[in-house]
Amino acid sequence: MSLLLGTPALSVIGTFGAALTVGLKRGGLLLSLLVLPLYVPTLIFGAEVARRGMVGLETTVPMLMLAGITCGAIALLPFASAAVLRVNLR
Amino acid sequence: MKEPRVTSLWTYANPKKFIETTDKLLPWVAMLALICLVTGLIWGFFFTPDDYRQGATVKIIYIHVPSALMAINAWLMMLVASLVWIVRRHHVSALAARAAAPVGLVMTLIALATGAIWGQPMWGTWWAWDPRLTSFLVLTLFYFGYIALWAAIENDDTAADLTSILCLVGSVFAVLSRYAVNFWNQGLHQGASLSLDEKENVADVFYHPLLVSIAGFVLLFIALVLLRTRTEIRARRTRALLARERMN
Repeated sequence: MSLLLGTPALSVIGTFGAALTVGLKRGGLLLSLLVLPLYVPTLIFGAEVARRGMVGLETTVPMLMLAGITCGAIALLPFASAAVLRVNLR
Repeated sequence: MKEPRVTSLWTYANPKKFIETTDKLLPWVAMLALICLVTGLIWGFFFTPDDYRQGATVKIIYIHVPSALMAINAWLMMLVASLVWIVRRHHVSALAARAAAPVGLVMTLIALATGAIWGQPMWGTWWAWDPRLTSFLVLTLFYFGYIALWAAIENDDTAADLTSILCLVGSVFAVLSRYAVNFWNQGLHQGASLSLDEKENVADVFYHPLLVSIAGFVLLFIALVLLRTRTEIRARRTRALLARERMN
């Protein structure tokens, strides 16, 4: 479940990172460096859901936070990616 | 000299004006920074008592707290400069953001290193996955990514645009991770040693030299950023001149 909620956020973030490095010849390493810190909140909440589920605690709060991050990322990051791509195509 | 005095802040966005102004300003800022740093650190190191539990290790606070403060404020300054670049497209602003990044990175690394040195005897560990420590690690990664992106792109304007957007997006995620890690783990790190709420502050003996030391770090940061921005402006001008030479 947390995978389902977190994956879209990760892929949108990945899109943003890819858009940033699209003009570079060797963007691979840079891409991972750029995207790594952006992944942190998503991963933390995802891990928290899993941990709480394992211990048998309530998982609603981290789940909701995760969903919130995903919604926010889907809503806003495409604009950032679009802006970046526009710059790169200029 | 009969021109009307222009008071707008944006006049300083003109590179020439910026260099002229900082020419006069820089020695003073640098001098003040030096005075504050020397006073604050000597006062802190030699004229304050040892803490009754922490002993002499408490004195690392005079480096740790100011550098951590500046690490965050440097990113904030880069955020403002990036916004100015995106909205008003002043080159000096983009260059100032670029100039601030390595200074901020060094401040972050100093904060992490002094924290580790202090943490070893006090907490018995160099590193813990504590909220504050983790968010500083994330901040370090942001700084590295930002600097690397500046370095990777050849066209200056494109680089300025892309890094500005990265800085905006990064700021949002930095704040997010700050609170995410808070949520995730109970902290080992103590609370704020400084706040507007007087009761939470450290004792006055430590507080006053700490303030001087913080002022020193702020001034040092300003001086370094001004200096580096001037260097960037001149480097860019040199490159433009060289390019013109080659055209002829």
